[in-house]
Amino acid sequence: MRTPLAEPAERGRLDIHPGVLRKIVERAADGVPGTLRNERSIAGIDVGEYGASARVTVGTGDPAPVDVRLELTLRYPSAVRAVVEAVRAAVAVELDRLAGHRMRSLAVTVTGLRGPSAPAPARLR
Amino acid sequence: MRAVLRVLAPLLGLVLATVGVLVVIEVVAEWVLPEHEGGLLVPWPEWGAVLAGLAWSQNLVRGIAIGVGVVGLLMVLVALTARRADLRLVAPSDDMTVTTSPRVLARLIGTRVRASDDVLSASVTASERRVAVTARAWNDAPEELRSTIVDRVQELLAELPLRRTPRVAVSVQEREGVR
Repeated sequence: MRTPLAEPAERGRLDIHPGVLRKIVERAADGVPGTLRNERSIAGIDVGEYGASARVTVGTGDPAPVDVRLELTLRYPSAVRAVVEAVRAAVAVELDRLAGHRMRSLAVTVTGLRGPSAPAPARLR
Repeated sequence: MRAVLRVLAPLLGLVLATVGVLVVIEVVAEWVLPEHEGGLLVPWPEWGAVLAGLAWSQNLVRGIAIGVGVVGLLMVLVALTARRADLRLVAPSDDMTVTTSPRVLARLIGTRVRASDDVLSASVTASERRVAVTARAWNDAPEELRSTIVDRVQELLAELPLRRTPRVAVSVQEREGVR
């Protein structure tokens, strides 16, 4: 005799690792116009680039609230407050849309304010 | 306090590394030269003899213990107070905090000041309360260069959403020679 299955909503649970939330936050922040990516180099050798860096703490509750600490480089001159507000909106929307989490607080540290990198000079052919 | 920590940390590291190297040398010397009496570089047998003659109840031991404790507490205090002095920016909403580092502000101001043709070089230190600019100018720079730099820096500070606008102090040094 087969035991009846539980209701679909009660058959399991979904936990999203904070690392995934961190990546969602970083990707959302990097997509906001006005944020910049930085070049990463080791001993002067270019080894790629990096963008926003986030730390995520997941609280208790349903849906679990999320506290985010974010480090960003912003374009300057630009309206810093407006860009930070756009980052906040983008991060909150993406966390809700992709993971179903509510952003409870956001602490932004602006680690750089600079102009966009100068375009690489055209190569002579 | 961060400056104290920056000096203290390498010094302590150096002391510990030196002690470690001396211990290794003494241990190896004891293995390789068992007939050699006494320490090779450090007279540790004599130190051992002196320590063996001390009792826990002696004032010297108590004094050293209290001294070490006080130094340790001071170091804990230095480490705790040497936090990064971030600059607070006005946040768009109450659930946010926005900060930046004094270095970011100093770089920004430095770039702005050096953009002037009359400025040869400039160094900037920034904190929440004060921005200090030391500029080197060509000797044929205009008289009003200092006030021009002050205006530029204040203009930049006004553009940023700083919670507290720092005071601006500018000093201009003239370079000898022609441009």
